[in-house]
Amino acid sequence: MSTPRGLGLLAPALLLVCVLFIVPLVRLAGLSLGETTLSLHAYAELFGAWSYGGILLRTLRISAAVVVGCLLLGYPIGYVLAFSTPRRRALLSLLVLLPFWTSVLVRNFAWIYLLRDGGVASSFAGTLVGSDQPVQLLYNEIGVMIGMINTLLPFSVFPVFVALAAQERTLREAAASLGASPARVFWTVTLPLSRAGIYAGALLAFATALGFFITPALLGGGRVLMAATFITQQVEEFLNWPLAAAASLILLAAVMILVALYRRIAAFNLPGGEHAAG
Amino acid sequence: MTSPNPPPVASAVGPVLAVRNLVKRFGKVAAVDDVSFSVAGGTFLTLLGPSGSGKTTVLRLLGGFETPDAGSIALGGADIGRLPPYKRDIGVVFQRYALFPHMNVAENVGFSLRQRGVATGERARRITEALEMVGLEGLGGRAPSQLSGGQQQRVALARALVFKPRILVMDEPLAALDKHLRERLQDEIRALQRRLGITTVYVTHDQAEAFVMSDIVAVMNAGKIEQIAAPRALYEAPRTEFVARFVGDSNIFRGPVNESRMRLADGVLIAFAGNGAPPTALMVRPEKIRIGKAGHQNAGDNLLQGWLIDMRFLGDACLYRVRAGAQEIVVRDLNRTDSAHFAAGDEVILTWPAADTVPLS
Ligand SMILES: Nc1ncnc2c1ncn2[C@@H]1O[C@H](COP(=O)(O)OP(=O)(O)O)[C@@H](O)[C@H]1O
Ligand SMILES: [Mg+2]
Repeated sequence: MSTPRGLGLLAPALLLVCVLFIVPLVRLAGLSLGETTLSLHAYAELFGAWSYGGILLRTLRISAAVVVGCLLLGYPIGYVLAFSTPRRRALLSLLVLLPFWTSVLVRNFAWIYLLRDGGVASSFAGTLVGSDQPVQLLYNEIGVMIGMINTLLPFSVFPVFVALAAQERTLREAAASLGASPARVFWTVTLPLSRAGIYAGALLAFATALGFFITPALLGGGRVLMAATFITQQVEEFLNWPLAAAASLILLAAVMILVALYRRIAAFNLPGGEHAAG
Repeated sequence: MTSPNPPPVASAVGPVLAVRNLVKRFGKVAAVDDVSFSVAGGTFLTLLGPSGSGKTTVLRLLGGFETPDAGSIALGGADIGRLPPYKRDIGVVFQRYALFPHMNVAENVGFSLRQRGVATGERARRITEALEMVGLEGLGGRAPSQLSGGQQQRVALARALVFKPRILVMDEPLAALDKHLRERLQDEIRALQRRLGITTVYVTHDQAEAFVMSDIVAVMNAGKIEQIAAPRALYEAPRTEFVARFVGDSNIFRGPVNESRMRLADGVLIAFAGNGAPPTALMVRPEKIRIGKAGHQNAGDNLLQGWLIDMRFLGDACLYRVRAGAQEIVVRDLNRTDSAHFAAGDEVILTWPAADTVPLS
């Protein structure tokens, strides 16, 4: 890999990454340090603004809740996919991916219709929590989370699916032969050995959730301001490019910290035993 | 435990394991096709057969990982054919060990005890005992990936034995190890099995391994058991051509049979000691044939004249290929001080007694 020849093969890809990613990123960083003179003004403004602190926290909170929702829904789906016949697997994958391929506007307006006050969903939610009042599901954080979970579900489903499908069947069979009931097999073998998939799914969903702005705008009805929406506003409405650039870089830093964390955790949890045995 | 090698327990209470007319199909393939056998308590039975003959499927049916399409499996007299694996009380050693990579050695070995609610102290004691039994004392804290193949194999064995299962089943447990280690573990596993007196069903495609380890060998072919017998009986009196060829080397003769003689294509008669239905073929093992110089008279019911095609020197023996009329015959001659030496092209005489000519059906 580190031979000059290997580097030569990598060159086109490296060039592409430089032009499309590194260069804009450097420009963005420059922008965040002021349009004319070098200053940390944008960052001061960002952290000084009490409101931005609120926005950042809300973004993290909603994204975290969305990740939890994605995993709770996505793990069982990934599980069913992994243990299905190829035919059924193809069909189910299609169903999981369908919302992904639907236009974001169509998807959001469908949710607005489903979640509206007095609609089926809100009455049903009312019954669930034991009140005779319908529960408000739209134009608040709940609505935003529902829409985001819907969009991000594939991000958690497929890593879980891959982790489970790669698991050796004999490990579960060994556990069963040693006296573990199917439920015990799941908790002691299947689940712990799919951790890498869970972490990857969580990371992908979280990183993507941080950048959402259409869904929060539509399903939040303008009341749920998230970081990406804030950045868009700064660019489009206030033309405050340095502030937008600074906010973008903070989000990017958050994601990079998460990726670094993930790499450490994943390195610990990769089932090294199997490599050695094989 | 007074006698180091207690003989297999006589089956006064019937076999520990009884498999009857077991069938398992995958699509059109009958992976296991009407298999029946029984294993007396304390016996080491090996399923021996080429790849794809259905050995693994039989074990998977025993373990409960596959459900049979027909037939029954009785363990200690009770039908377990429809029980889920975790209620079967069978120790399983898988082909590639299947150690839990997220648990250390002690946790792997203690897994079954944890499932059975054995208290921590007792569990630790039994884990230590089991690790000592397989010669891995002190390695409980290691991860499986930190062990060599042979050590992983021992952990798998300890894990399958620690809960004192009714029977032990093992699927080619030594296939991934080098020859030296394999032979050592063959002896160790066999000694351990004798010491514990545990009824064992073992799977291998290696005839030598089956012979050194087993009390009884069942030869499998295309989902069926061709013959089930003690190693010596299997070798000396194979019933079918498949068994004769799979177990050891063999010379096969074909031709019309009259009384206890077979007429070969070139008119030569081969005598055999038969008393059943006329055989479809005759077989004689290479080492049962004596090779001598032409003109030299050797005693034997069968006598063929021929010339030497070639010779391979194996150290302990010579392997001769002899052309005798339409036949090509392999002879294995032990390397004794007084053994005659032959070279390619030599005229030779082959002789062997009728009793060593095995009729096959
Ligand atoms: N899960 C399965 N699905 C389809 N065919 C199978 C399956 N398991 C085994 N077979 C087939 O059954 C036959 C016996 O296989 P197996 O029991 O693994 O043989 P062995 O262990 O003797 O090599 C083979 O033809 C194999 O292809
Ligand atoms: Mg097999």
